[in-house]
Amino acid sequence: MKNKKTFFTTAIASLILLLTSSCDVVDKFDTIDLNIPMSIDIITIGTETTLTESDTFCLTEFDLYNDNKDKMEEISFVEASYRTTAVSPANLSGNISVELKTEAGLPLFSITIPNDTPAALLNNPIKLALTADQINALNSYVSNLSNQCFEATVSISNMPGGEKTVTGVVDILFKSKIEM
Amino acid sequence: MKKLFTVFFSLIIIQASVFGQFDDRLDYLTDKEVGKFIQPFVNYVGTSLNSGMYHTASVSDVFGFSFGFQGMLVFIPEDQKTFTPVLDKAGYTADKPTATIFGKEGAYYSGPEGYIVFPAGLDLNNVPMFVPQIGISTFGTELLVRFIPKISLGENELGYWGVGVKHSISRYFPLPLDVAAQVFYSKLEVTDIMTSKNLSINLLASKNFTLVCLYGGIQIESSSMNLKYTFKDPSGLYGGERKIELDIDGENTFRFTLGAALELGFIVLNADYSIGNQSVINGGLSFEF
Repeated sequence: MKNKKTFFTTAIASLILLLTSSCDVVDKFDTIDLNIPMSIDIITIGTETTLTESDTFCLTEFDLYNDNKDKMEEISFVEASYRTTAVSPANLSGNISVELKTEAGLPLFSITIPNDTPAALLNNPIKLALTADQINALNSYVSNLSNQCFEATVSISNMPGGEKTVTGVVDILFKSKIEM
Repeated sequence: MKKLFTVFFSLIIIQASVFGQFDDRLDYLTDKEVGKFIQPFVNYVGTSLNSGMYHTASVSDVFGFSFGFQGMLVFIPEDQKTFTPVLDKAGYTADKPTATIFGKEGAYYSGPEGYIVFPAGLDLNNVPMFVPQIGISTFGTELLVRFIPKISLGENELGYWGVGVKHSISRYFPLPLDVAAQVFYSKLEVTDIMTSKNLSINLLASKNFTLVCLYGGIQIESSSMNLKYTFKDPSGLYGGERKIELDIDGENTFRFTLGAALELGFIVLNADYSIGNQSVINGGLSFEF
């Protein structure tokens, strides 16, 4: 009888161990980490030697964000890059700056791409090297899930005179935790 | 006894809920990449469902009946936690691996059309599985049946059944230990998500001592999984949302098993360890008459 009790105790203890392991598995299924990429097109056109163009965008414009926003537990910045998709004239030279502000106009980051020209970035994205403070500012802003809109600005300076067109894209990657 | 059954059935319900959700991650993978992401899961399902079918090679010549539960803990090897995708978009290079379903971080790759992103995995080192089973034996042959009735998972239903036959070989030859051969087939289905079919053929041997039976076996096996999901095109580079269906074969093809069973009257506790594509510890509790 004593042996029986011991074996039942062992069996139940083993089951609890397996149950704990199972609960751990179930917990892992409760959420999913999703990378959410966003691309913002900004076209600068003009004859000035410095051209600046801004675009306001909201996270809700992107399907992946929109599909999951109601189940989103948190969101944070991962990486940003800039690329050009069209440049005219082809040999255009100039220095590019990318700036991101909150909807209310507070700066989150401003990056000048060193030693580059629009044509060099044609379908060749360059990573925007944000400082820790800039990343913190961006994460602090998006951590309030009601802050969903931004203003992105691209400035190209030191260009020659004449008619110019630069079509650029700011790619921003966020990571979010989604409740399943 | 009642508590044990409650715990076992709770485990099966928990397991069922997992199978109802695993496909959420697939929605973010193209048909070209999903196979590599889900391969360790196909292996896991095959490995676990092809486990725990025996704890002795002795088969009753008169009449035997048993019922019980088997619990498996499958260990996921490190090399099955990541894979390097083949990015079929010009200008992209997969310069780092991304997570499989059992890995951790989903990777991203920058290129001329923006970021291509992959989903994160579950970050699991081991994954359990539970099955109830019944055995009936006579004339040196045992019929083994596993069955989980349909369990509702919201929009889907999980169902599982398995059937196998074990036949004593040592009844024909004078051998110092019991030897038997067994074949087992099982099917696990989550409606509209996946169907897993698994087959195993094993040769096993056991030696009985007073209360303990030592057993071991070699097994060839196969698994395949049919998957259905809706690709959501997270990067926006693959033409948008669409339904995908594909078949994936498991990499679990062979295993070697060693174990022991403690026989206390009609109660049998067994534990074994199998080395294969994924290693698995199997433990069981049976009531045998």
